[in-house]
Amino acid sequence: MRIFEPHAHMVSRVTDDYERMALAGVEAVLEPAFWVGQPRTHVGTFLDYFDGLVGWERYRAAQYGIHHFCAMGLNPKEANDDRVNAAVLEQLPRYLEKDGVLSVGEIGYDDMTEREEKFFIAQLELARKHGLPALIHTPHRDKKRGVQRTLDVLRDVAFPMERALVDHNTEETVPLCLDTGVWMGFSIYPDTKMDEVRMVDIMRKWGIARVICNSACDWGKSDPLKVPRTAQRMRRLGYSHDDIERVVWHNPIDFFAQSGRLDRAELDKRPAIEGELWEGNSILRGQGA
Amino acid sequence: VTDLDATLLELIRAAAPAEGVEWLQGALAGVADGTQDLAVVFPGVARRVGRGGLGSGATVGGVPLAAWRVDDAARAALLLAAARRFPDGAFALAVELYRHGDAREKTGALRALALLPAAPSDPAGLPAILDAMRTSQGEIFEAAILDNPYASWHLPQHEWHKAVLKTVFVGQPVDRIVRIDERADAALAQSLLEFAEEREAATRAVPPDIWRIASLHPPRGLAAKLLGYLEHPAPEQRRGAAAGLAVLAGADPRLRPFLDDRLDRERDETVRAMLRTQESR
Repeated sequence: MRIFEPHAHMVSRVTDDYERMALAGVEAVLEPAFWVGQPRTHVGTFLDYFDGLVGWERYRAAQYGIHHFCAMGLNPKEANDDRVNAAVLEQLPRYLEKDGVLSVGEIGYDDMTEREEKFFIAQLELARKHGLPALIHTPHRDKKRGVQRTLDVLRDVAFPMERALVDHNTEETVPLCLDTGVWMGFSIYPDTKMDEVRMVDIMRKWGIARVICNSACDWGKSDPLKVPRTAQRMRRLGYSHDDIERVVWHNPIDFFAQSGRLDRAELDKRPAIEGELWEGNSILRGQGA
Repeated sequence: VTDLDATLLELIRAAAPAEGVEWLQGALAGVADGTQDLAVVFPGVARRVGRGGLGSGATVGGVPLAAWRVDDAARAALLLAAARRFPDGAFALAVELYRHGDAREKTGALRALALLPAAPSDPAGLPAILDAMRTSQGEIFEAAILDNPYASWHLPQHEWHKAVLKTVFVGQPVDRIVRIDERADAALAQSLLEFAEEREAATRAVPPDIWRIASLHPPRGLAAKLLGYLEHPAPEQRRGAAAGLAVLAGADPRLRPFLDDRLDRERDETVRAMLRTQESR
């Protein structure tokens, strides 16, 4: 089974995770820019982080045969921080033009503040300008109202619904999104927000159209194998190979291909690694010659 | 538009899709007249012109293009256009694009340095080269040090030694370092010899292309070591040793009988040719 992991914060993971993901069938990951667990106090740390996403992280993933893509954006938590918010927004255009940047994100609401809304809308405009879809975080508290307000904003600014991936859905928010045309993301966690059993129950109830599952694996308790585990759960409940592949491979690819920067033929090849046989570099040790 | 711009564009035209060339020409005009921001144009170059090999064995402005890709050439052309607009800030601009670039952008910025106006005399692009020397990403290091005259023009001797050593360490050919014969010195030769000893102690192979460079300013004991390698079963090891010995024999006629002794038994034609040569120093 080929797997496209559409939301993974790989900067927080060790190489063992990449190896396990590759063994479980993950061939591509998309890493959305988010906060890093602790507030950043100046724009430079954002830029270093963005540079790392398109630089070292892409290289690291390639060692395990995994294609690394990302989404760039000012996350909703730090959209509230006047030390960084405007300056990050100003720097985004160059990052939104990078190869491998397939979306703006994560953007959206966290506490549903005025500042969050201002930078959410500004970044939807950037998405339009740079021809990118939008990966949208939704609040973990006051979830239903947060999702509803997200959908209202998308409608208000006439953002094309099929170019929006509204993430972190639950049983309660699916009915809100279902008929709007947005793609529905689900972050499968070890024991809190959503798990693979509930996830497959949701699919049985509402279908698999525009459903995108991710592990969101980050610096908190999380599991980078949650998408393969969801696929396994689907198989146990009798889903066909094609249906499983639709959810864990084609759906995320169909969504992110709207960027015009995702070459499906490239996905069939192993990612290029320059200087693959570098002898001195420990991360390459044991591979190749 | 200078000869250099025209040459680059001609090479790009031969290797890039027509719509990519058209896009590039629009971007070049926009960067030249200030209507487009190079920082925003630079990242998307490879998506438009491609990222395959440039396919040129030419040397342009003293820069060998053999390892260049199409996007490297397009990014160099864009930097040249920006350099005409900001003649005093061209190197700072290249360094800035390097710093915030992905791997392809970084190689483009590094390779463009040697083509910028006043490149042989202006060291302002060095911060990018020095940064690239610290990376573990092969293509970035390669773009900074191999076939890049800018690094060889401007790196201070200590840093230049380290660049040569890292080239050897990562298994790249030292002969791709521009002006290596000119800049090699006794300290470099000593470092290369110690590197070889470290590899020998670890029972790992020694890259044979270091011996000719070490022989330009030979440390004591080198001749004997190379005579040993001349008996190595692997022909590439004998070629490396013979290349060094050809240099050493030019200054030390006592080596001649040993080379002739090997010549009698040597089957590899390349090694034989080297053993007959006696380079003068």
